[in-house]
Amino acid sequence: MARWDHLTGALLLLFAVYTMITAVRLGLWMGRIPGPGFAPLWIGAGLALCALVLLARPASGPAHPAPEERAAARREVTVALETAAATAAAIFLIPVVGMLGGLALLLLALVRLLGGSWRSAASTAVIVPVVFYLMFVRWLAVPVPRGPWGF
Amino acid sequence: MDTLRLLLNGFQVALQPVNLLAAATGVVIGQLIGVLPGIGPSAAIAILLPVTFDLDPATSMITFIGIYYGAMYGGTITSVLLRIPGESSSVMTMLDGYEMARQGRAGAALGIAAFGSFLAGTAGIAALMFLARPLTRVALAFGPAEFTALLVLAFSLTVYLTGRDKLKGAIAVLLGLWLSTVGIDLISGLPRFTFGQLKLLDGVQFIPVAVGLFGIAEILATAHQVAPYRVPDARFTLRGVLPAAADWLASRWAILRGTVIGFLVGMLPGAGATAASMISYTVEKRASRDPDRFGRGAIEGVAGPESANNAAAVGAMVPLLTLGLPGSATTAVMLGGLMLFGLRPGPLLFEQHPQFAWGIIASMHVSNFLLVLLNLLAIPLFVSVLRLRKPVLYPSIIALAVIGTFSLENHLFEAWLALGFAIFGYIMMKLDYPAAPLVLALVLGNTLEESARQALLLSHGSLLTFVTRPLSATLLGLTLLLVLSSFLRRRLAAAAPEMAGGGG
Repeated sequence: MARWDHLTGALLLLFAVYTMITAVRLGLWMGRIPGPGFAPLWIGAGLALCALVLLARPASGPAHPAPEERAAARREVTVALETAAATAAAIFLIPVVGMLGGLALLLLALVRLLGGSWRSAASTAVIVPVVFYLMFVRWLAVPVPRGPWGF
Repeated sequence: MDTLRLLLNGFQVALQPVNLLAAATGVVIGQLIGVLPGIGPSAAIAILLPVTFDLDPATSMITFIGIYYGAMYGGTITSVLLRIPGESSSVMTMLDGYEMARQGRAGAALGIAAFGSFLAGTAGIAALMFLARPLTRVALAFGPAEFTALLVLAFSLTVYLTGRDKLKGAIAVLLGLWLSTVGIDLISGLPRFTFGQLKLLDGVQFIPVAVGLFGIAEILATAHQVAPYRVPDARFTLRGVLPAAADWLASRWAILRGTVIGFLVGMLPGAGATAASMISYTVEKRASRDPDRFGRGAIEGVAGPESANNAAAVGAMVPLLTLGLPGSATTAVMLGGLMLFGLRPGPLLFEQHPQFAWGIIASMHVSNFLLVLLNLLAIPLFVSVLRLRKPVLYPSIIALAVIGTFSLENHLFEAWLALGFAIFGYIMMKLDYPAAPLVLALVLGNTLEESARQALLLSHGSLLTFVTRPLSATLLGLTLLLVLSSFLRRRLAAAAPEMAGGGG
């Protein structure tokens, strides 16, 4: 954790410096009225201060976690990344295959990814988009992107 | 008398069929969310906000309040029966509730939790009713400088009371404030931090941020735990969940103390229902003649924390409705939702929209009543929800988040934003940064900037205005005290082992 804290501290410091430079460029005052850069300057300064404290804090916490802990953490991160990647792919495909098609593909992929059977994946991929169609398209009249097959 | 008349007017709103249906829908959804570990009321409200845009603001707020209260009740069921707290506010209930279930007293534990929650909720709402008008009058005396100082104090309290690492809480607040500056500056008309994206000119909408941070991020963090829950086959009859006279006698002071603690703690920004239930449990253990019973099935260990978490949920509504300050992540999302409906909670809400404000308060009574009925009659139904498997449930929630955020602007940008913040929220979770202060700051950031600018405009640019006005100076002084006490406590904690080492 401490290593990560120092890394995030360094990134935060860079971000704070960027915020303060942009704030000054935007203008701190407009006559006697605070300008568009006034609030960002204070926020940037606060972030810089916090980042410096984070960097200055001594390293603490376990340096070497147990192998089984590392394996569990790796599995958690892998599943999280796969879930996020499947969601990103579905959002990317929605303009091409339509909202309902995209959601069906997302559900099919995620149910399988999380350990569901093909049967539950297929039924979820059909039932849930139909429910959303009724709720969002028919009831709330949301103009969702349509796929080549017209829905 | 005036308060009662206003409350009766509120009941005219709350008892309209559509609002009764909204309250019933809200409490059922909330109860389900409370039962299911992984997704909380803040995520549920954020995800469902787009669905309620077509409704009347009062109807949608009544639904959200039902969800909020329902989640408090629902978390108890899994804590007692499965030793899995559906919500963090039910963790303390688990300690004695599960032991009671093992001793064959699950019905008594769930019954006293339901009645304790009901009594605490009702007392809390009564306190809210009588506090609302005096607090509103005080708030109306606030100028921009005082309101700026109040917001600064609220953020400091949020940092002080949320999470273990106050520095990380402060960073989360500052990041939320930074996000609130994105978009066109209303005074100068200049774009800030938009990186050339037209969609960012209107600023960062809080719904995709809340959906990402509270909803999808939570799923990313728990998706790897696919083991199904072992649902017990226990049967619950109405007689089985009605507490016996001895249970009432043992719990009466715990319920009373839990109510007072919960209501007071709930009003503080950042403290919330979880802290209230923890304090209540500690107080009950200390007050007990036989503290060793705690952790072994003491009914006071269920009655106190359950009363406290419900009273805290009501307490959190006090600063939200009277000052426009959310006290928890869920009330922050509610505030954001109300702003999208064009309503600004705060003192003027009671002046300009009394039907709405008192309708909300009356609906809290309705939700509370519906929840105690649900909890006495439908426990098996909610237990069966746990049979819904994560591989089906989680993907369905993510799909709802995608189409829900799309429907905000009929654009996929918001869905991308939600996914981006989900990944960011997951990283925050892993690095021990709290997400709630970020959303709180995002929702209130623009108000803080506007108030500060107005105050400086009135003082011709003099920053001294914040310390020369007595109320503003007092509020800022309290903020300073809070920061200093936190710093000193840290120094003292660091010095204690050294002194002990030196002495030995």
